[in-house]
Amino acid sequence: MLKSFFIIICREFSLAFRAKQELINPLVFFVIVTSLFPLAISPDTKILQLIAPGVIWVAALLATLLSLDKLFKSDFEDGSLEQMILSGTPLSILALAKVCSYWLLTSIPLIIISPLIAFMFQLPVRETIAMLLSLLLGTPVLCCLGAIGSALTVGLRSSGILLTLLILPFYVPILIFGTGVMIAAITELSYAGQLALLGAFLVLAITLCPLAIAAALRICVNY
Amino acid sequence: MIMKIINIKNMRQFIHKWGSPKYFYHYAGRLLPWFCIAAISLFSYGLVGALYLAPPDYQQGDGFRIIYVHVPAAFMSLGIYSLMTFAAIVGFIWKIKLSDIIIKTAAPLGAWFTFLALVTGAIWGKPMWGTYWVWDARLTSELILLVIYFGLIALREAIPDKELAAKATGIFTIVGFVNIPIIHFSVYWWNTLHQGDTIQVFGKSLMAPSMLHPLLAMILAFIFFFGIVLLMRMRLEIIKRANKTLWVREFLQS
Amino acid sequence: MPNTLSVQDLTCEKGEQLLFSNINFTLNEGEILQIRGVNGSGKTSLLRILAGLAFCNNGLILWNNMPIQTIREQFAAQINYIGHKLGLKDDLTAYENLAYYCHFRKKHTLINHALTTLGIIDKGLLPLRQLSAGQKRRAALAKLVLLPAKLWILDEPFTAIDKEGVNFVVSLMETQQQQGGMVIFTSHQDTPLTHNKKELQLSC
Repeated sequence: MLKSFFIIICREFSLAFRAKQELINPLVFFVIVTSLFPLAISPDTKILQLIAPGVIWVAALLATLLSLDKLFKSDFEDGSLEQMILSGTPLSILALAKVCSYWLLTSIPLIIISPLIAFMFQLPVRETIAMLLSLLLGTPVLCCLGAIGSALTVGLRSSGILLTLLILPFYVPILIFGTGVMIAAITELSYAGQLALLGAFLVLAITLCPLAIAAALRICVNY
Repeated sequence: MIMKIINIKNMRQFIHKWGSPKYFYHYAGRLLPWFCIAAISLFSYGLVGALYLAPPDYQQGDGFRIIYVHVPAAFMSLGIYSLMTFAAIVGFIWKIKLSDIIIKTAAPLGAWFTFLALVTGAIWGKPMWGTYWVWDARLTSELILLVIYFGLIALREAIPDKELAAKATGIFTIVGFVNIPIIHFSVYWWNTLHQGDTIQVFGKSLMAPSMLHPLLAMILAFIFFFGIVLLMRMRLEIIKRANKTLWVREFLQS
Repeated sequence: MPNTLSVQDLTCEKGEQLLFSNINFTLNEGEILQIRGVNGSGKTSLLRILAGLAFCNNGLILWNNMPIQTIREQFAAQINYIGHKLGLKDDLTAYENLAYYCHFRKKHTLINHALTTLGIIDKGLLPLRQLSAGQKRRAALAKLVLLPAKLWILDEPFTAIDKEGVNFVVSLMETQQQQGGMVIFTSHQDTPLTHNKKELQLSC
């Protein structure tokens, strides 16, 4: 079972590195969106620090959504999804592997580059650390929840907008607590509470979402 | 132990009996007049009580009377979602067709009640808060609920195969139900302007009885009204789906 | 205990249309079932239902007297399904595709043997998108050599492949039969397979 998990991750990585353009897209999107805000609003340090949590988190959230509709699409189109269902390994494990590799491939680069963005928004070190921690705990939840929507809309023609409509409501708590961590850091409060809640969401998402994703995939493989 | 097994068997039979569209169609038809009587009498008591008998609020004047629509609508918006989730779970366990008919026909009604709660909330907000829309916790979570309802309806419309659509929406309904308390709680934590709970099931209500009783009557009236519309829509949907079966053909000819 | 697959009163509707109804058959070890029928008669749907991918409206599919829905993973581990969509990644080579399927557990020589059996060993290291439709199908069928399974479910295994390829596949099926396996496949073609063969005609 563990072996199948790593095989899927392996395969996703080798596929991703053969289409490097796709890999860079979310990262470029994240950097462009966040660097436009100082130009559009104000270069003033105080204002930048004020808007930084919201801008960084919204950009990270949209970057996650950006290629989410493709998460299961190619597997659906070439029949790999059918083979995954019939592989004899519980589908939820394989679904979790897909989500993990998606997170590693799209969110991790984004988290790595985020200190640079924090630097552009003139955030102090303490808040940069808070941002890193919140992104580290929050983005996997975004991927897990998003994968449910992606599984439900796999094989539908206009899945992009529908996926956004389905998933955005579920992103609200993560957005609130993710930015909450950063706002608490900026106002010199303890952000351990919000961080712990994000951690709780993460545990909940990792345990429950794969089941929902697997159930959705079993249905949607027949579209 | 044996008793338990028998009970489970009976339960399954009971659910399958009620879940069979034909049986349901006839019983729903018999229930409808009673629901109408209940709704009309509750509405007349509730409305007279709400608009005439209840005294004006000492702070909010006559403006408060909108709660007689706002609170029941908000109650229904969540209540209908719970009903749909219950139907989805029953549908997954016992695989009965009726549960999907409930989800399909109740979703637009839920969206309407949510919309009504939002609109009445906005109208009420203008004199109370000085603006139609504030990012208040309850209003926001109600708005998110509306988006979830839209998502449900859109998902069903997007999937061409009806049975797959039924299964997919069932999953989404349950996922949404798990998320609603989390969303509600986080939005609440984020910002709250809304007044606290006025009605408390356990413990003393903060409302005068002359104001409270019409409100309870209105909530019940809304429930019965929803029941009437739901049953009518379900009956129509049953006929649509089963238009090839023998009993529907016989029924339509007669 | 010998394996059996038995199908009882299987019915499938697509949309409002009845595809097929009341299909009954039993398949024992060493038997082959060919499903025939005109286009749109539900051959693919039937295979997908048998593999446990699609849902049927009515009826039972029993693997060793157990409904397949209740033993999903165990049943899946015993079958080899090759459908309309081949389940191969275009960006990977045929060799890599197979290597991922057997979880790198099989030796290098075995994968090469599988590719040789289907006659595409010289194309094994090309990305799959450079292969022709027939070669792709052969690559998918190489999975049958590599991963032993009790039951093969093959959707139109002979499409797009040439005469030589057909012979390869037929001999694969015969070997499977001799080893006590079962094969279910759809095809319009008459095959040289005759021993222990059943046929099922689907009619609209």
